[in-house]
Amino acid sequence: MDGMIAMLPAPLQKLSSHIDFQGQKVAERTYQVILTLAGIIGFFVGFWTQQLSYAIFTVMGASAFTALIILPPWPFLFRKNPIVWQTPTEEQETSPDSSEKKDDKKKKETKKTK
Amino acid sequence: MHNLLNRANALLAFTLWVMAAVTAACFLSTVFLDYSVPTKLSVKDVKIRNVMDYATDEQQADLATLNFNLNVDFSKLFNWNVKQLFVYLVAEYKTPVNEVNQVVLWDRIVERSERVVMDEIGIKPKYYFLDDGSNLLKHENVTFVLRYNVIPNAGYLRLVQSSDQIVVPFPSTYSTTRRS
Repeated sequence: MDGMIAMLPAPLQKLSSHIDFQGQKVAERTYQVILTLAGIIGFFVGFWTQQLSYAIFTVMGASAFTALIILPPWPFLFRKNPIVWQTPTEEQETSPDSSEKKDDKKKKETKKTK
Repeated sequence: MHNLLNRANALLAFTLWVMAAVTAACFLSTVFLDYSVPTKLSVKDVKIRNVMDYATDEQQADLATLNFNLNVDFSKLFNWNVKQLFVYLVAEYKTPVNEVNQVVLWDRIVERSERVVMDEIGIKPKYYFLDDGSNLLKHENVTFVLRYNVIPNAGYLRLVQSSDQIVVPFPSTYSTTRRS
């Protein structure tokens, strides 16, 4: 994947398509619901017109529509709960298992092990 | 699902699953239907010759020529799971030599289209009606029946026999041609 990205022209290499965890959950649920509905509706469309091609085209069309929704990393849908990374800390030259962490917003208790 | 390729992969896989399910549902919705159609078949001008058959020990065999009229409407068969039909006409009879003889005389592929009615007269057979021996002469009941394969979009290849068949007695003398 990194090799492919290196082959793209320079402005495109900086584009990223990552989405946060909540967004991934939303994206997965979106395509499951849309495609299942398309399958059911497509079956009835095909049965009514007695053409199997219409049923398959319905599913394919719904898949293309879903691709427009979930593939690009839309900020208003998929980047609403960004992952909060903790800031990196100073390296401590004493015991490696007692590192202190500084939190910006969230406080977490870390247990010191011996 | 964190990058575009992951999401595209998941979407494609699920799409294929749904398409397979729709196709399976299409098969299930048509598997128990009745696929037999009535036909109007008549056989005319049956003539038998006794010809040299170099491949057999008896060296002579009966060869029958005939033509037939066929009128059949296939429209009710073409549901959404039927791609085409392979229709063929069989002559079946019993002789002292062979318990079962089945000779295919003619076949045709009927594809899905606007009009699938067949109404033809004077159809000549495509294939020879050569007996295994000389036992067609004076035969009392040669049965002509139309059978067809229903070729589906999804499912197994189904063989159906038409609900009508006719029994034709064969002539009691050989016909002569200019050359024999």
